[in-house]
Amino acid sequence: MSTAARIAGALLAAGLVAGAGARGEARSQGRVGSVLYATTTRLYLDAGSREGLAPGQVLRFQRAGSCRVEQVSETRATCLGSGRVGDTFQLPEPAPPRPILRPPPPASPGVLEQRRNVLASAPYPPVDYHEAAGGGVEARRGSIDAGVRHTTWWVSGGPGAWNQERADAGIRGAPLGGGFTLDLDLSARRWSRRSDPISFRPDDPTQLYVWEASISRRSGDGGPAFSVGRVRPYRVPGQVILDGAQAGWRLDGGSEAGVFGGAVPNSVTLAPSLDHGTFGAYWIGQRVFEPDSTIRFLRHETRIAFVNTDDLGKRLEGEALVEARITRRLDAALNVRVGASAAHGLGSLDTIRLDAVRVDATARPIDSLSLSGSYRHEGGSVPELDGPGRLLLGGEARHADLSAAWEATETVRISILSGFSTDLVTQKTRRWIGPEVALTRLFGDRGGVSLGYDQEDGWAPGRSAWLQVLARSQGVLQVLARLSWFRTSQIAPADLDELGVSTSIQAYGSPSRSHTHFTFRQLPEFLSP
Amino acid sequence: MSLLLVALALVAAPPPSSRMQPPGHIAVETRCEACHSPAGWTPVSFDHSRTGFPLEGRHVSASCRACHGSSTDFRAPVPTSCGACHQDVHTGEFGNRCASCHDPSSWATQFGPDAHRFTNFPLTGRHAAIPCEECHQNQRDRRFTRAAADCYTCHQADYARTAGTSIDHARAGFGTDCKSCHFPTRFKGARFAGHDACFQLSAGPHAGISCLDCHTTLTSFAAPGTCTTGTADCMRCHACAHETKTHAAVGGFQCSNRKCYECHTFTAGTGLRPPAGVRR
Repeated sequence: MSTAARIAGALLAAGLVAGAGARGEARSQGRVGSVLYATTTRLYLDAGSREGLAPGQVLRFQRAGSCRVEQVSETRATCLGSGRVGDTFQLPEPAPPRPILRPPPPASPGVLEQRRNVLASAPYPPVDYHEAAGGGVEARRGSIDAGVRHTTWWVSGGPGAWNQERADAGIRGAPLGGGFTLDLDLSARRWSRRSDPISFRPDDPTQLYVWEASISRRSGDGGPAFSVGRVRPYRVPGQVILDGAQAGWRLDGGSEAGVFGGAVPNSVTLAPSLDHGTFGAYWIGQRVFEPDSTIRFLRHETRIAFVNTDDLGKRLEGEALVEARITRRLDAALNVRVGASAAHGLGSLDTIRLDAVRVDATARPIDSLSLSGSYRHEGGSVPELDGPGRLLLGGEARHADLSAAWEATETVRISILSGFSTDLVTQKTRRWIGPEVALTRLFGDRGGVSLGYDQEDGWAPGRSAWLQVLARSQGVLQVLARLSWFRTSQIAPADLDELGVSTSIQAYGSPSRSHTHFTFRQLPEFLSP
Repeated sequence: MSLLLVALALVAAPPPSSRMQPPGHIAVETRCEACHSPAGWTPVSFDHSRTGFPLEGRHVSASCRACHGSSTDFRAPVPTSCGACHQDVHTGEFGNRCASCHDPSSWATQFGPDAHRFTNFPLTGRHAAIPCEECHQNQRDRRFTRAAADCYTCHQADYARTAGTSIDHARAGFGTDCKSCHFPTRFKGARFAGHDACFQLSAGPHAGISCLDCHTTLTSFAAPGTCTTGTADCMRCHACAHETKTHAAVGGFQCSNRKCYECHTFTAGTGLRPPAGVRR
């Protein structure tokens, strides 16, 4: 190395150190903080409470932008907002120094020894800690959801409004002791106003639905697993709820095999009934692969069951579901159900039919692009009860959709939605495609706006456009308002132009880990044929 | 002096590979500050959006272990589909993409008339303002696969209800394609598009008039739209005394329904127009 180079290097290093010292001096005197590390939404600052930062403060960067202080330690802080590493900001004026409280002089060794002997000889209750079987904190706490809701349906020119008040409650995995948990899912509804013609339970303005009321024991460490009561069978694909039991053996890692059986409640009222029932067996397989493998997660679920219900009659059903995560870019699922009518018992199986084939896939080829698609073939095995005592047989149908969403920036998402649906009985088909642009953070953390349009053709061609505003106060209130315009052809003697307004107001309360929400929703529609 | 400080700093700085790895964490290069705050190892704050699965709604408050299990290896694959964590109450009908209908904040359904446009049956008129269960009555399995898109599949009872009324659809020979005459808002106020071939109702002075304002009955048709009903009664609105007076100069005028119809069809395609003085 030449002499000149050595001198230049020394000068450069000296300059760097001097500059660093100067910056440090400026920081201590001029009260400037900076961003050490930045993620998409969170910044990590080199200043903390010692420099006067406190949660909730808004810091404005000297370059551009701002952030809101989230958490503060003595010397560091996190801040919500957008910025870059190296961004600087003015620190607030420091709080006046606290008066120094001098501790009393230490006790003499003799006094300390006396106290130590007193503590050592004092009795104390032993505390044993045992990890709850089957999971951590979340599993022990369970979750509770409760909500009340008022809904109004109204259309101009129609016969009148419909008003409903309802209360919903859900308990998931609430601990009962001994490893037992309670699951509850119910809804109580009251129609305060309906206008004729009424198709669904016209004589029952007050309705109670209980989908689940079961006691379960299912350990994450393996061993016996069962549920009893009104059971929604755990991960048994396609199985209806039943008043009975599910029992199985759980392996380490989440796989499980077992049987289930019981009475099947009424499909409309959910009233218990001994006239219909089901029994069968199931297998749940689950495997996690190495993080760098092609297939990273695989779950497969199988069911074979005899089912006797009020809508489908006696059938033998087999169903399989396979779900896989392929690399970190693709999730895919395949679900197949086959059914055979057994009107005169299992010995007379006939009319074997492909009830359903469903394929779902979601891919994220790059971080900012998401593709999602599905295909469904419904074999027409799902009839609907249409009014008291009448049964409408569902027909074969196919449905497919494909959507793409591109997160152009942190605040702009552009989507394309498309799909088609075909009723194979009447050969009626509809197709649709359209864009949606969402400004997800137009109001910052308090919400955003989206607007979209879609073009539809087929047996009822048309088009629609919408503007949606979502505003929220974190964890307290959420307001969603949507204004829509629809044009539909060939579904009436003239083209229909309709305007719809939908609002939903939800208020949340979070006592401890429970969650309560209140919803108000109305759907006025203005029709101008 | 500066050179000495630089040298000391370089010597004192620990090499990257010697960073402390907390127990239970995987041995990879990790920036602790991406998750942990200097205030302590807990609470943990992690920008999940960088994983390709941004946490929205209730997911924000979920504990890490609720999804990742007891493992501290957060690189271990976790399926991102909804069905991987949420048990399906729809018996598989909609697959594992719950977010198409459910609000991630409250799980309340967001599926309304807008979303129904993306099916084979757009909700128009009154269909957009009735609760879901009026059509999808299965509460047990919460299924919604009512494949039929034609009106009659759901409105058979309404069609049958016309029996014995003045507009007995079956006897009058009306078809079961309800939408060819009725608007989806309400059954009343139907339009019969084929009527224009006989007597224009879609426009002109008789636009919007109801069937029984003219026809004495609708149950004696041979077939709708054949112009042979013989049941239209013009005199209900057009008084003979008035019409006789206003038609004084019209040769061959008679105050009878048949004679009215011979001149006044109001069908635009034929070029005929109502003579001056003819009122509804």
